[in-house]
Amino acid sequence: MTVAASAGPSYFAEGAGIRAWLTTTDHKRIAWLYLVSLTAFFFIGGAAATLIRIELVTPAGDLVSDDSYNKLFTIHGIIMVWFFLVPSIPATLGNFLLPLMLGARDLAFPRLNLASWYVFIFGSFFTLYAVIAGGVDTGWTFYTPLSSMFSNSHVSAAAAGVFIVGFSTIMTGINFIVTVHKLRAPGQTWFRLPIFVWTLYATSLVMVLATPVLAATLLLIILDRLFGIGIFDPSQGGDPILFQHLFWFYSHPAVYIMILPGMGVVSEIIPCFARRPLFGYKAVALASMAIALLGFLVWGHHMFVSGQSSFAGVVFSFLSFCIAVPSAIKVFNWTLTLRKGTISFETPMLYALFFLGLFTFGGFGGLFLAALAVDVHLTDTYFVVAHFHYIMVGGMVTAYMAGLHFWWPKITGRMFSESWGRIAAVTSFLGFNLTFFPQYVLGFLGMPRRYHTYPPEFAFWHILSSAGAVVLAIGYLLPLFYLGWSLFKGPRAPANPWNATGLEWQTRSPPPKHNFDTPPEVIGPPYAYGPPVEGERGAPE
Amino acid sequence: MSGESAHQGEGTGIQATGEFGVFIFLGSEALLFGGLILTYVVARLHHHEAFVGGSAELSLVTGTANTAILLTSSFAIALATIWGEEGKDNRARLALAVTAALGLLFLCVKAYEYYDEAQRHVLPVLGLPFDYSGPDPQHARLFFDAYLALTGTHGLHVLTGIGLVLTLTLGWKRLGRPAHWLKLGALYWHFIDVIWVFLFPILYMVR
Amino acid sequence: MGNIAFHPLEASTLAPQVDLLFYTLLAFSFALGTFLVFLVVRYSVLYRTGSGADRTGPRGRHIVIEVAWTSASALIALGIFIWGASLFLERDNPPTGAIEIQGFAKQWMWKFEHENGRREINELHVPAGKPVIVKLGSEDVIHSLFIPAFRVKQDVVPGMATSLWFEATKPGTYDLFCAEYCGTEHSRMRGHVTVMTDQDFAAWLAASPSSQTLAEEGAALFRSYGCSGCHGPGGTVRAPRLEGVFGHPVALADRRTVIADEAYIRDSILNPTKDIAAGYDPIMPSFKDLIEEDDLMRLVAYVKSLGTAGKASP
Repeated sequence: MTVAASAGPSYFAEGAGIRAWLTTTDHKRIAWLYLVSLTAFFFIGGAAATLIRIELVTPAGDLVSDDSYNKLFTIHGIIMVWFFLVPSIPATLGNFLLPLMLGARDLAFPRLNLASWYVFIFGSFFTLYAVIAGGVDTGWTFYTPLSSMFSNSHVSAAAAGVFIVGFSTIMTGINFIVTVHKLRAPGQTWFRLPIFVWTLYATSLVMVLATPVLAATLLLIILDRLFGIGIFDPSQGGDPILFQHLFWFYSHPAVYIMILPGMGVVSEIIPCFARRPLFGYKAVALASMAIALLGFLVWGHHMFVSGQSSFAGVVFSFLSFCIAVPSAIKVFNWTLTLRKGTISFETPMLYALFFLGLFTFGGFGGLFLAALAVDVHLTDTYFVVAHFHYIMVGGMVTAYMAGLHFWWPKITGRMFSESWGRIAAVTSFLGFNLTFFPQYVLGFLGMPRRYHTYPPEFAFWHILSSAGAVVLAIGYLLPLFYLGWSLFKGPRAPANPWNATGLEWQTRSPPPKHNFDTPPEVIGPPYAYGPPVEGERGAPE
Repeated sequence: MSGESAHQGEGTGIQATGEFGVFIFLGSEALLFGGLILTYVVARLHHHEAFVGGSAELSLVTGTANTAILLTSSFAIALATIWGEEGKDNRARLALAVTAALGLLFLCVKAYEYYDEAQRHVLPVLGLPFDYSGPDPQHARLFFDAYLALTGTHGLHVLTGIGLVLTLTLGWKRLGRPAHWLKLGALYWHFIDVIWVFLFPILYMVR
Repeated sequence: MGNIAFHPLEASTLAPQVDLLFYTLLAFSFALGTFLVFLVVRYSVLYRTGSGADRTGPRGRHIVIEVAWTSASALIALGIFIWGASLFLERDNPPTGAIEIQGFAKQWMWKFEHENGRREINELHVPAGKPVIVKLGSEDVIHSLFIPAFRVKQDVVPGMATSLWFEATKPGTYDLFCAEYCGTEHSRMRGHVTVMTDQDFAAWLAASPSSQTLAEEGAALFRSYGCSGCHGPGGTVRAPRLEGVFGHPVALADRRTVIADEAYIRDSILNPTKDIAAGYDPIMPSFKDLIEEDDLMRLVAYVKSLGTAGKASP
């Protein structure tokens, strides 16, 4: 479908100057506000990780002090989880694309959208203050009574920052849910929605329902530290494990907030570059909802050795295996999408395929951890660190890169250098594996996590891991340069450079402020790629 | 501005969209209070005797009075909503002012309650002395911790609600569709009321 | 380079059982992973743009395939779950006749006490071939006792009694770690488990029988090191009396006030000129390098027992 080449200014051109950008209610510009902030936070968190990996090259703690090291891994976790991963795809790609994918002019509540960014920035001030004033050293998990009674670091400030940022998450979630319900294009029934929309919807449900529990938990810590109510203090009848239940009740669903959007991105990219519809569309859509729901029921698998009852452990282990099933279904469906396709390997597809491998490998680690008797040995070791980094970095960050590259022409109106893109993708893939595969081994060997110094027999694997981190860092730094360069010098992008389906490709690149010159209609299922095959055009009608 | 983009597709209008959004927000608030209440319930199941004793220290009279005040304020804002829809702007604003006043009264009564409890040394906060003479003082303290956390969070929400109501009252003329915003604000106010209706019996009436 | 570890030692009855499940999971993951990689690579090559492969026809019957791999995944998951759970539940069933050891965790050390009173710090001696239960308690924050070679781990939670049991099989020395982040020196809160043969263990245990508390032993040391000469009732030199000191504020010569906690007592013994008590001359000799760590611990326990009326605020 051809789109008129120039029928008016793009959203970039309408309203210039800092003030216009900072007071915009255009979802596309707000996506940029988030993109810039999140990129900054990613590199701050990455800097902490770099220092950690440098320290761990040698068994002795000779680069920084014990306290500094503890503050480094704490701030790495806090920033990466709450100031990068949770908002990443939803607040950047989601904000930009959701209205476009629904054929809408904007989200349901554009001013709420801008407010969510300001709340995010306001919250970040508290956490950044905590870092600059001397740091936090409780770990991103804030376990009590260490955090509520013993730590001398800036716990309340950091917790307040996360508390405030949680509101930003809830606002985004509300906005997305209402938008998906109320603003779909004519003819766009639920089972004609792209999977990216399904996953954003599932993610938003989790955001809205889980984040308040984090708010309650952080509130209790702050009340304990500042007002001494002693709710987690055993000498006053309190229960430290209560904190863990409350914390993980949020934080487990939070990891699904972090991965579901990535699964959505990959579900858009693979059909496009394989030129075939997504295999089992309905199964993938429903599996996304199942993951969101089941995600609320498994929090106790972080607590198998915490002192919770064995019975509880058994129940949580069972439910954790249940949640492996919908994820496995998705992996099989993505793989089979390739069959009888016409596959090309542009940068977004490379990232998407790497996601497939790394996410699966991380998922296997999850099976080990869900198996109770094995978890007793592996929990609190580097095995867990490897598992969640495979999913969060190998999975989520890779998917983020995939989406950024896939929709870059739409968002900026420019094409990036395909060669550099591929180099970056392969570099980050190789670097990632070299960094984190040794950590699976370290965990099995018994290397505990959050250790500043360690026994010498672990040194070999740490050296490998740190070497990998160097390569990984290069892989993540490269896009800064070639994507940034493309903003100014990249060739102009057509409306649909990848020949993809989806409403967002039916408008100009970059889109006008009001998104569509003529509002689109939806007449058939998504992923209408390739030759029509009996019984297989996207979703069943 | 939030209206324009709601005119497409299967949207059923501005009103429905705004209300839908507020309901989802209230869902998240329900989880916030739900989490705290669940914590309280679990603690109470474990230490029943201590919680009975702790609850006896609270003033049932004051709690009942506060419940009445809050319920009346909900009635006031409901009246305001109806008048707002009928175009009776001045009456609506009057009812809103009454709502805010009642909310403020609720907070004053609560503050007095906290003061009285602090005097009787049953408010374990900010290092104040805690002399509890009933059974199982260690776990009774947990009751008062929970009481503080629950009523404190609720009180913050009442304060926010008062702010919202005052903004509506005073800024009525400057709003594009004041009756619409009033309806959304009323939803929030009713929700806070409902939360109190849960908190009151579980805190004050443990027997 | 000769010190590279590739797999953890197996030194308990549990270890081989856990490892069997672990390696089964590894084999399954490897098999399924290889299969998926094979599929992706095969499709990528076979169906790449420009290849003459046959792309006509459906890609398989959707509903049959979905049901098939869903059921297969569910069954395998169920199997692994049952295996893991049943092995896990044995944690709750230590064999009868087990030796009991008390384990105390505090920032940042492990203290173990055997049945006959013998104490160890950051070291744990156990016999091979006999079940051992370690009853755990924490004095401050959550710690976790982790012995990788035994495949056991248990969080140590303040205010809660937890325990961990194992039966060691091979004599040797193995790592012991704290596995729950507990503050500044978390990574230094580690030591060794020494597994000995039954006879060697009996001999070791008998070598220093002790039925006194730490404080009682400290009282004896207070005399044998000469502390009572100045700090005791008949002292000729004017020195602060230590009754009622611990846990209370102490006015110092430089006008500061500190709370006399364990760190203060330790410093007073090892570095007495650091915080001089107001009104006294700085004449106490230093006992640095003259007192072993465990004796120091006993002395501190003794001074603590002289004046505990509430601990210092955290």
